[in-house]
Amino acid sequence: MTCKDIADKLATVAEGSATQGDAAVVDEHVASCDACRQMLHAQVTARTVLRARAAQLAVTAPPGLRTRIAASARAERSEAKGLLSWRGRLSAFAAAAVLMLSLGAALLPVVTERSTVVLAAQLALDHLKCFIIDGDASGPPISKAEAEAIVQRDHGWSANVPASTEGLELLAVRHCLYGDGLAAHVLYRAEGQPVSLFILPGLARPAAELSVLGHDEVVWSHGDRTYMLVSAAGTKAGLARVASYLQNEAK
Amino acid sequence: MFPGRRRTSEPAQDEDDFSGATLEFLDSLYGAALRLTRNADRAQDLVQDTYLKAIRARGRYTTGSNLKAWLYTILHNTWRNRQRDGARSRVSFDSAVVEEAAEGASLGPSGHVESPETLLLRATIDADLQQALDALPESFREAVWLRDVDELSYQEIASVLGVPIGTVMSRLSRGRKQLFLLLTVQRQRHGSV
Ligand SMILES: [Zn+2]
Ligand SMILES: [Zn+2]
Repeated sequence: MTCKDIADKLATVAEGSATQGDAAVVDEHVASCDACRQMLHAQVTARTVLRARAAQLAVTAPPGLRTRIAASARAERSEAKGLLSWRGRLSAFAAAAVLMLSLGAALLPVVTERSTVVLAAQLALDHLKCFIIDGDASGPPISKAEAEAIVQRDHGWSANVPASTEGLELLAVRHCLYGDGLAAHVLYRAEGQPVSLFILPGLARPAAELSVLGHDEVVWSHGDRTYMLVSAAGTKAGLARVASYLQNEAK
Repeated sequence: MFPGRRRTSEPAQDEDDFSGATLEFLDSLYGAALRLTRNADRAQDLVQDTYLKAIRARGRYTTGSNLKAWLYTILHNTWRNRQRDGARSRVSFDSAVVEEAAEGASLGPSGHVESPETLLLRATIDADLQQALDALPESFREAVWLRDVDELSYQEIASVLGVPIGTVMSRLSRGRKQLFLLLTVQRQRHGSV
């Protein structure tokens, strides 16, 4: 037996899970081979230490993650059963809203292709999540250059991120999941109110203004990107001003 | 455990059980995602994506097989695809090169090596172990973790990592050896024992 033959058997011998034959062969070899004996010892030790300490290294998933996954499992099931009728029914919008509420920011590409409303609902939830739950927007404003560098780093494409201006502060950029992939989520504060600009690459959607899940949204496209502006309902006049500023700046 | 049959008289119940059963492994999967992505946001994205794929592919899960291993396989496949498709340039190492480098590392004078493992066990603090694990190449770390902590079989690890069993064994040996070396170095640095 050469050291190379032995090497393949060391992993199982170190665990005590080797066949009797392998164990005997290795025993005999290591009795006269320093290098393989050390290798065996190293394996046993590393395994022992790791197993003894693994519990201390264990992590717990964030509670929100569990909720989102459980909700998306339920949503998938409803989808599969065809409970949602998407054609010509006003109630479909209500269904979408309920579905999206339970779904959180999870992925549902098939659904989002069907309706800007569903996408809007997803983004409204992400807006809430990023502003309220994750509390990302508590820090000081960041510069246009910093924001653009983050988009470049996280997404690999460049975007023109509108800078802070009178009554509007650029706070943070995140990469967030939505139905078709990752969106650049730009967080602003307008007159003290949280406002989100989502930049969705690779798809152009028709311009729209809509209200969903207690949020007003403005949708527009430029090139192959869709821009969606999200803010809590009741700020429509302010939102229109912000939208026209961002539409001009984001090109 | 869930019954695993689909489309029985109570499919909804079955599927509730299925997602319930998969959620039992959420912490383990999140831990794996953190090891791979090294970033809490990305880890959450990866886990969420994994679950969605698992739920959609539940018909392909074989009842009675290791559900945890099946989920790990989806997670690792998703991660590998992201790595491959990622537009971001990434320092990717050729695992063959890394394995060769590990092979060359010496276990050092036998005086250090022959100390009983209980000494190293006592001298190793959790932060050191975490640091040592972080320092291992991904392919080694995953093999070691899946075997020694998650107790997957060699065959299961081979499917999770998408490599032959022989490669699993070699990564496992080399990963453990690297880990041992790193822990030994740390112990010496702390001047303990
Ligand atoms: Zn030898
Ligand atoms: Zn977000």
